[in-house]
Amino acid sequence: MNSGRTRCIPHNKCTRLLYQTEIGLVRPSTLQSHYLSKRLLDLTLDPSTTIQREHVSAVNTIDIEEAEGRYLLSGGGDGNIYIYDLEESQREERRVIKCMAGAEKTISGHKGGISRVNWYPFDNGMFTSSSFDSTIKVWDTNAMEVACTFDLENKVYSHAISSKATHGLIATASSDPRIRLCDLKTGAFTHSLPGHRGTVLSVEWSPRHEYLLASGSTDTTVRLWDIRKSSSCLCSLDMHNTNSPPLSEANVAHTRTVNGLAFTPDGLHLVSTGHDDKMRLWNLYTGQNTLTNYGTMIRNQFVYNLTPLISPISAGSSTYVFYPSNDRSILMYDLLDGSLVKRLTGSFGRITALAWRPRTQEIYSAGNDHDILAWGPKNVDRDSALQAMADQDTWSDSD
Amino acid sequence: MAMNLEAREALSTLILAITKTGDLYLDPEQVKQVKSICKKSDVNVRTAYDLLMIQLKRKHAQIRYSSTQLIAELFQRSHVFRELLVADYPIFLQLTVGIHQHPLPPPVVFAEKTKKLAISLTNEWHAKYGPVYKQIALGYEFLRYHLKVDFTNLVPVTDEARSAEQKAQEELSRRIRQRKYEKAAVEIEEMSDDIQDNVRKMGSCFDILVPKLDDESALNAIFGAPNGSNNDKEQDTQDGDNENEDSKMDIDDSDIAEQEAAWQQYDPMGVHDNALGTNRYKLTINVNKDNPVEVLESEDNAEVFTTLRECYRLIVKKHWPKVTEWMDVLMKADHEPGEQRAEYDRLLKKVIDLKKSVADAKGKSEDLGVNMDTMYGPHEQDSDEDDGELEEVEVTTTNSIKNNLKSKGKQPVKNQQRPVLTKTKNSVFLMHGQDILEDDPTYAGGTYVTPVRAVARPDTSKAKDVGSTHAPEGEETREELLARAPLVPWDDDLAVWDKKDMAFNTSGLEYSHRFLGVGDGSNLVSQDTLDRMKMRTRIYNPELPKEIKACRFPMSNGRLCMRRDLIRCPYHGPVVPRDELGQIQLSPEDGGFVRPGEEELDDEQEAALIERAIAAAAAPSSSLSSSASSGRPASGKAKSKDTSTWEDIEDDVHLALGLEKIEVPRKRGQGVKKKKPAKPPSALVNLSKPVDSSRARLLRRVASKASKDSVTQDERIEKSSSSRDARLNRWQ
Repeated sequence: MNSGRTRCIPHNKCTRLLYQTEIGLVRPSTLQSHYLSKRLLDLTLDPSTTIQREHVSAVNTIDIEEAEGRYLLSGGGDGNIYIYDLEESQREERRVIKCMAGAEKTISGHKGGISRVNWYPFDNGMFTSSSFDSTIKVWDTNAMEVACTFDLENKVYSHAISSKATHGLIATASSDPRIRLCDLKTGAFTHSLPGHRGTVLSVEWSPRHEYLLASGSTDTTVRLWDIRKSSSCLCSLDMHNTNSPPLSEANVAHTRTVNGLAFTPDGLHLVSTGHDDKMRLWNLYTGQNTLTNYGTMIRNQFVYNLTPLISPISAGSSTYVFYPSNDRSILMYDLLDGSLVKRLTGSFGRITALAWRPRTQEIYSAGNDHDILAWGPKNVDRDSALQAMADQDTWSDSD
Repeated sequence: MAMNLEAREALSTLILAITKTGDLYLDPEQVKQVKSICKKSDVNVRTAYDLLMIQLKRKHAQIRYSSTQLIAELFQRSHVFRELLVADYPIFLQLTVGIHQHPLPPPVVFAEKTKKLAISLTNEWHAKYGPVYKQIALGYEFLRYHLKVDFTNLVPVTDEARSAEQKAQEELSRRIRQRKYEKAAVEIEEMSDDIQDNVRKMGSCFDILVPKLDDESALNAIFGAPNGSNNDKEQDTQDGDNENEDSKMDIDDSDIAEQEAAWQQYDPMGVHDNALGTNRYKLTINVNKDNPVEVLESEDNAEVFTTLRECYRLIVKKHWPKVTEWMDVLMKADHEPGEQRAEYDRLLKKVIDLKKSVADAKGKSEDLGVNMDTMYGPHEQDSDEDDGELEEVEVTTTNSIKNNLKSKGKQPVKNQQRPVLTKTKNSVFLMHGQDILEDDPTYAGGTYVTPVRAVARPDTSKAKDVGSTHAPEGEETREELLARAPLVPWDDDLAVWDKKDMAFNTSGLEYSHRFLGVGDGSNLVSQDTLDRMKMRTRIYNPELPKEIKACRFPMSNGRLCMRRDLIRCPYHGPVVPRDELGQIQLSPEDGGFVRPGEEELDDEQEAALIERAIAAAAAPSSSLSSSASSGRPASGKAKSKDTSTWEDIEDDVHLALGLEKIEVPRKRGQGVKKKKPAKPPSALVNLSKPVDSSRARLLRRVASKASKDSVTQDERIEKSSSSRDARLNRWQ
C-alpha cells in the first residue's frame, strides 16, 4: 500500500507538492511560500493589463489599500489624485483599467505636485495625501472631497500612517528638520520631534511596535523615535557599527542623503536607501547594520522619497526587496543575502513608486512618463495564439 | 549548449564588416551568412545580439543605422532575438531614436535615417507583436505620447509589412473595379434601350436620305430612268456623284418620253441609255472614298437632317463615351466563374453589339456630312458650348483658323494667309541682315529699286542690254548668268566690283583744287584705290562643332570615358571613333581612324585644325601661329599621339603661342611604381576629423603665428610710445 503511494507520487514539483500537502506530508504554508516565490521569480511586465493614462505629469506615488487589495490610488506631479479599480474587467483577456474616480485640481485640492498618497489602513473610505504645496490633506473617498487639511508651511516630502497603531497619528517628512505628527482625531499637530539637521525625506511607522517611528534625512542619518518619550529620539543608526553612543553626532546611515526607508513586514528589519547608491539592511533588534551587500546596480540621485518595496515574508522562502532604480528598471534583490535576483526592465520612464498587490502577487509601478505599469507573474494560458505566433522562429529555408 | 568559438568568430567578423561599411543598404550576401549562422543555434543568436548591441552603442550614426537594419532582419526571424531585444527595448529606442535625452551621434543625415527606421520598425512591430510584447507597446505609446511621433504615412520597412500593404492596395483596387462593374451593369440595363432607340432613329433617317440597293424604286430612279445627263454627252460614271435624288427632279416627264421615242429609232442597242455600245463591257464604278454618298441638304430634307444631327449629337456627346467606358470597365473587371460569369458574358456581348451599332451609325452619319463640325447645323459654325469668354479673349487668328477648319470642303476656303512676298528684287544684292529683318513684323520689305544693271561676269562688257531676254548668239542668257552668279551679302565693294576705272568727279563741272590748282587731266580714281575699294572686310567666324563626341576610351571601371573634347582627351589621347566596347574602329583601307559622318582628315589637316582652333582661342590676330604650324613636323605629332597627356596639350598650346616648352621635373620612380590594390573603402564618415566650422576658420586666421606676432608687435609699440609720452609729460 505504502509503496504504491510512493510510486504514484508525481515527478513534477508543483503537483508533487500539492499531493504532499494533500496527504499531510508538508504544511500548507510551505506550499503557499513555494508558489509565492515561484510567482515572484516569474514577475514580468504584464502584457495583457493596461492602466489608462490619466496624469498629465509624472506619477509620483501610488498605493494599494490593504483591506481588499483592490483599489489603487495614484498622485501625480500635476496635483491630481486618481483611484483605479484593479478588479475591473479582471476576467477579460486584455484588461484595460480605467480611472474610477479622480480629484482634478479641485478648489480644496492640492495646488502643487503630490509627494505621497496613503490609504487609511483600516478603512477604504479615507486616504491622505501630502503635497509640495506644504499641506497634508485627508480625503473622503466616497465624495472625493477634502475632509481635513494640515498646513505644515514647508514642502512635504512624505507622510506615514501606522498600519498597526490605533493612535491615528500622521508622521510627516518635510523640509523642516522637525518631524511633526498630525492627529487625525483632533485635526491638530500633537508632536514635534527635533533631531534632524536637514530636510526629512522619509518617515515610516514600524509594523511591529506602534510607537516606533523611523526617519531619514538629507543629513545622512536615519533616526528611530519612540513618540511616547519626552526625549523621543531613540538612536541614530550607524553604518559602521561602531560602539559610539546611540545619539552620537558621528553616526551616519549613509554617506549622502537618505531618501527611502522600508520596514520588513515583520518589523524586524529596516531597509534604507540613499544617494550614495547603496541600500542598507538594519537589524532593528540590535540597531546595527547587517552589512548586506546589494551590489552596485543601484542608481539613486533625485531628492524625492523613493521607497523600496519588500515582498511578504513567509517561512521557507526568501524575501525579496524591489528597488526602483533611477535607470528605469526595478532591481529585485534577495533581502537577506543581497543577491540580485532579477532586473525588471521595460519601463520608459524613471520609476518613482512601487505598490504591492498581495492577492495576485502583482506589482504596480508609477513612472515619470505619466504611466502606471502592472508587473505580474507570467501567465501561460493567456492569448495562446498570439503567444505561439511570437514564440515561433521564422527562419526561411534559404538562410 | 556549448559556445561554438568558430561561430562566434565568424559572427563577430561578419557583423563588424556589415556595420562598418557605412553603406545605405546591407550586403544581402553577408546578411544571409549571419542568418545562416544564427539559425544553427540560439546561443549564436545571443552572441549576435550582444555583438549588435555593442555596435549599436557606438557613437556613429552610420554604424547604428546598419546595426538597426540587421537587428530588424534578425528580429523578424528569431524568437530568442525578439525576447532579448524586447527586454532592452528602452535602450534600443534610446540608441536609435534618441529618447531620454540621448541625442544621436553625427553624421546628422544618418542619425535622421536611423530615427526614421526605428520609428517605422516600432510601428510595424507594434502592429504585429504589440499584444504579446508589452515593452514594444509601451515604446510605441511613449513615442506617440511623449515625442509626438506621427505614425501615419510611414513607409513600410520590413518585407512583411511591405507585402501586406501591397495586398491591401490590390484588395482596394479590386473592390473599386467591382463597384465600377456593378454600376456599369446597372447603367447598361438602363441605357441600352435609349441607345438602341437613338440608333434606330438614325437608321430611319439614313433610309430616307440614302437609297438602298435593294430598294427597287430608288434604283430605278437612278439607273433605270433616263435623266438630264442624256442630253449632253459627258459621262460622269467615274464618280458616282449624280446618284442623287434632287438632280432629276427638274426634268420634265413629257419631254423625256418624247426623246425616248426619238432615240429608240436609231439607237436600238441603247447605246445612249447605257452609254455603252454593247452590254458585254465591264463597268467599273469607282466610288469616291472621301465622299461616297453626297446628299446635299435642301429644304425638303432639312427636317431629316435636323433629326439626324440631334441624334448624332447625342451619340457623340453621350452614348459613344458611355459605351467605351462600359467596355473598359467590363474588360478590366474580374470575372470569377459561376453565375457571375454568365451574367458578365451576357453584358459583354450586349455592350459589344451596342458599340458596333453606335459606331456604325456614327460612321454613316459622318459619311452624310454630319460630323463633329457640322453637328450644330450646316451654317452656324459656332457651337453654343465651345464659344464662351474664351473665344472673345483670344485673338482673331484662332477664329479664322477655326473657320478654316470648319469650312473644310463645304465652304469656299478663304485665303487667310498673308500674300507671300514674291521675290522681285535681285537676290544678288541682298541687303545685309535682310534675313533677320524679314522676321520682324514691322519690316515692310523696304523700297525696291528695279535692277538696272544686269549681273554679268567681269569679263563681259558693261554695256549689256538690261531688258533683253534674247542674248546675242554665243553669249549666255541673263537667266543662265544669274543662275551661275555667286550670292554675296551686300557691301560697298559691290558698287564698284565691275569697274575698270572710276571718275571721282562726275558732276561735269570743272573745278580745281584750291591750292594745287587744276590737276593733270585724268579725274579718275587711281587703280590702286579702285583695287582697294573692291576689297571687302570679312570677319572670320570659326564654326564650332555642334556636337562634341565623347572620348569613349574603355576605363578600368568597365565604363567608357565620358569626357567630351574637340580633338584630344587629356587622359586618353585623340578622340577617335570607337564601338560600344570602346574598341577603335579601323577604316577599311589604311587602318587609320575614321570619323563617321566627317571627311577623313589626314595628319596635316588635323594639325592645321588644331592650330587653327588654338590660334582662334589664344590670339585671333596672331599671324605667328600659321607660320609656326607650317614648320611643325607631322611625324613628331604622330608619335606623341599615343602617350598624350595634359603635357601634350600644354605643349601644343605653348608651341602655338611661340612659348618655351615647360619641362616638368619628374619624381623618381614615377610611372614605374604601381598603385597598391586599394582596400574597398568604407563609406563611414570620419568623425574624428574636425569639422570645418566658422569658428575653426576664424581661429585659423586669428590664432595664426603671423597675426599673433602682429598683435604683439602693436602692443609693444603702443607700450613704448605710451612710456615715451609719460616721460615727455614729466617736466620736473
